[in-house]
Amino acid sequence: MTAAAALGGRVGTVNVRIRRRRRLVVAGLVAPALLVVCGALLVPAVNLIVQSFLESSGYGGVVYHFTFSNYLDAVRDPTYRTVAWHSFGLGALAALICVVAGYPAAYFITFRLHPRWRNLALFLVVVSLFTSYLVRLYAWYTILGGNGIVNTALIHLGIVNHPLLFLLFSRWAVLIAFVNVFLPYSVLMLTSAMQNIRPELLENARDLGASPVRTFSRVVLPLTMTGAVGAFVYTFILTSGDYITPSLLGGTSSTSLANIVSDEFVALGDRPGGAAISCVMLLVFFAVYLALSRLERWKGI
Amino acid sequence: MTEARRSYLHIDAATKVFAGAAAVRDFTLDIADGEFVSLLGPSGCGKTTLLRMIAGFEFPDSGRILLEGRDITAVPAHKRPVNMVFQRVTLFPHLNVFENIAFGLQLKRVSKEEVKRRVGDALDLVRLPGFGERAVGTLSGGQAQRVALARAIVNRPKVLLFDEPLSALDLQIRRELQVELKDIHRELESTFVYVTHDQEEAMTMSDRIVVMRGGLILQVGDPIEVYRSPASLFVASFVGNPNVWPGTVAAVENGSVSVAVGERSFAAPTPPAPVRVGDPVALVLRAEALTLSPGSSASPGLCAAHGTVADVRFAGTVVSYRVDLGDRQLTVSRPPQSEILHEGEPVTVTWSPRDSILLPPEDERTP
Amino acid sequence: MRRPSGLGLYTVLLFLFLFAPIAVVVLFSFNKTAGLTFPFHGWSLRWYRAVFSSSTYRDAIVASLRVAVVTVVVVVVVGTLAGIGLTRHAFRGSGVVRALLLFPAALPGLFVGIALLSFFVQTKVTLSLWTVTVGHLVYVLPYFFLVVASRLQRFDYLLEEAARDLGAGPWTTFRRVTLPLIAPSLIAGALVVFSLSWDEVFITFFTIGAQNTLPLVIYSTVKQSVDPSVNAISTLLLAGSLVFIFSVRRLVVDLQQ
Repeated sequence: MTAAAALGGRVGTVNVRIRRRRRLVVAGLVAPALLVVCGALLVPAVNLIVQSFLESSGYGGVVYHFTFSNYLDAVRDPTYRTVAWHSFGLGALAALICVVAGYPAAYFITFRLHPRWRNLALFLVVVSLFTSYLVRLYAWYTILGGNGIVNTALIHLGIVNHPLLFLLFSRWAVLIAFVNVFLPYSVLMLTSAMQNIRPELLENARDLGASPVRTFSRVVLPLTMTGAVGAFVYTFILTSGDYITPSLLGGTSSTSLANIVSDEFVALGDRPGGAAISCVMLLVFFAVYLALSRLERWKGI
Repeated sequence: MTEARRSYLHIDAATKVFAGAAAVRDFTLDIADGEFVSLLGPSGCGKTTLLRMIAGFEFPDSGRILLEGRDITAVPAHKRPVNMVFQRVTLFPHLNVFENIAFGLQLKRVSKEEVKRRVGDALDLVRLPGFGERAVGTLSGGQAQRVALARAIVNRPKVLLFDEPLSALDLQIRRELQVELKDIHRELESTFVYVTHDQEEAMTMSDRIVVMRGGLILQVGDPIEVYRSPASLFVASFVGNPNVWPGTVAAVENGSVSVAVGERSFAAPTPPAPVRVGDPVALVLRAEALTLSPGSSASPGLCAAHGTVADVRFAGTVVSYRVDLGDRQLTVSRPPQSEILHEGEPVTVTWSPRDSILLPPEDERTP
Repeated sequence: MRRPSGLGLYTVLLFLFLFAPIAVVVLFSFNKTAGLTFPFHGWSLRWYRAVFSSSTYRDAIVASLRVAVVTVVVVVVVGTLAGIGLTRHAFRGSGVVRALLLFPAALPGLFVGIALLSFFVQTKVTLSLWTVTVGHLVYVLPYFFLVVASRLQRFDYLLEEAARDLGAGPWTTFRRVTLPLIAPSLIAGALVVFSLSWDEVFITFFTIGAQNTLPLVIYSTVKQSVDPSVNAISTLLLAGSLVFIFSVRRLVVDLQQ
């Protein structure tokens, strides 16, 4: 009797009933969370995209008239272009530094530390993440300011005669702050990727005659590429979208694209304009993500 | 029902299909009250699926399961008066031994004093008196399974199910627990359904063995029956340690058959299904049923083959010899106290025709 | 570690760099005078006194608390249900749902903030602490979900079968077996969520109405002037974070058995 023929009668439907009920239960369990994401994110996001194609009319007003003008302005305006270039450039630089600077530390923590010390080190990294973001930003005033720690030290040691005023309220300050905030994420992601490498692989490589540098470039690097790309993309996206750090530490010279968006929304009331710029930013993020995902399959130097 | 065996647990043509393949096919079995039945077979034969259907974790695609006449096929697991001891330790880590065992009783809102009494009795039964306060993490594998058993027993289920509960334990503990399980079975007079792939385990503990393969029943019988009169070559090979010789029927006489194996021919008992001259057969000679004697003697009425000792191995409870007969080999077991024969010695292997088994040969694709 | 390693030294320096801002803030919260000069001129608790006597700060703390508590309660319930739904039975599309629940973590608060602001304006919803809470919900959900899902992944479902075998229905099984065993993870997740909500400023900036949460007060104060009481409040915040972190650590240790 084939299974198909066997199904039928009261008993055969038990399994069907069970499967149906199971599907309902799962749907019910997942529904609230999906509701939150859809209601609080997807629907507003769609609304935002729609807004980007509408015309702005004065402060806060919107005219329901389909237009590409917002996008055209966003892409053609020279100010926007310059700012975008600097913004994304700074974000990319910050991301690059985080990944590159994170590698040695991650390597040390994963392969050179005793498990107990490793846990402590990772715990400390997590601790630094939990401390308030604004607090960490604000501290740079004290460190980089005209009368701050760095300048006072430099003057004291006689390296310079006048305080270096470019340290604060400049792109440097923003960059340093970005790296300070995102380095922990980078270290964590790289450590996580490295922990998946069995130590025997490294020993094998050295056994076969590879120098430490070679071992790194041929074994560690390709195997942790996913983690590195992840850390880079994460840092790049979040720094490019950060409007608070540039506003606090960047001074007048360094507005970021994120600041422009924020201003369009709050100060200028031009929601369609701001929406268009943010959509363009999102497209850039997506493009970077796609481009770098291909890097994940890189086999090493 | 006028049969001698009243069916307490009756499985009627149960079939279960997973992803297009039948795990259990048309399975029918009657189990009497108080019986110890083992489901024996290799991995993937469907024995665990069937057990889970009795427990209520799976539901058959067709067929029925009746307990004491009542159809429980569609009844969910938590409503069935059936309890299971699992293969892995499934004691609740956040509860101590007492709370684990009392779990089922507390769900039924049994009074506190009654719970205390029954848990104490259960612990005594599994030989772990006073273990109530112990934390689950401090128990050894054997102790944990005993607590799991107590946890199942204390609910006084109508049927107790066992899913290879001893397979993860050391040999010594396993042997100990096999004996204890049999004792507990006798004390409780409950129905036990026991799944295992270890034929020794099934043989020592069961009242009846159900040999399964590919979702089908190959044979049902008590241990002796399955051992002495296996229904198929697979069953014969699965239980015990047999030599299997493919051959052809040379002659059929009243009461006995002559089998040609290579250049020789041997007398064998009539197989259950009639055979004709020329039919291919398999001659099964169990290592324990053969006698090994030095030299080249032969006894009248016995089958004999002459050869030399090729290999001697001490397998713990027996001495295992591989005898080279020229064109083929035979494995023979002898008790450890017997005189050791050495490699190269000429020997004679003899057996009574009645101790050999004649079965139809099996092709690899059955069943 | 036998001989000092170059990599080790580098790592130590890295950690110093990571913690430098924190150390500075704590140090300067005790500074006697205002100003960012270093070394400072004396120890004092005046900034702490200023913080505690300021109604701005007090109101902001209350507001932050209200938002954080509601966020935690909602996210724990919603996230746990979703975690159970997704890890129990694999179903077609579970990967998509999972991705949907996780991706907001990679989105800068800017976008969430403006999307919500736009939406609220469009639907004529007044901005208030509730609108802030909505933003926080979508922001923290991925983090909590991750914690719950990873715990449930490691959960031995055979324990649930054993409970059912002993007579416990689905709800009883959850209540008496699953929940007690995943509770430490849930609590750790709740603390993480609280911490994230407490500190959130990117989304809050756009979705808040007339009130202020603590991070916003700090943000506006810092932008306008050099007010060292910010150091004091920051140190208090840090102390709070540390309490959380150590609670989480203890729970993680409990988890490891």
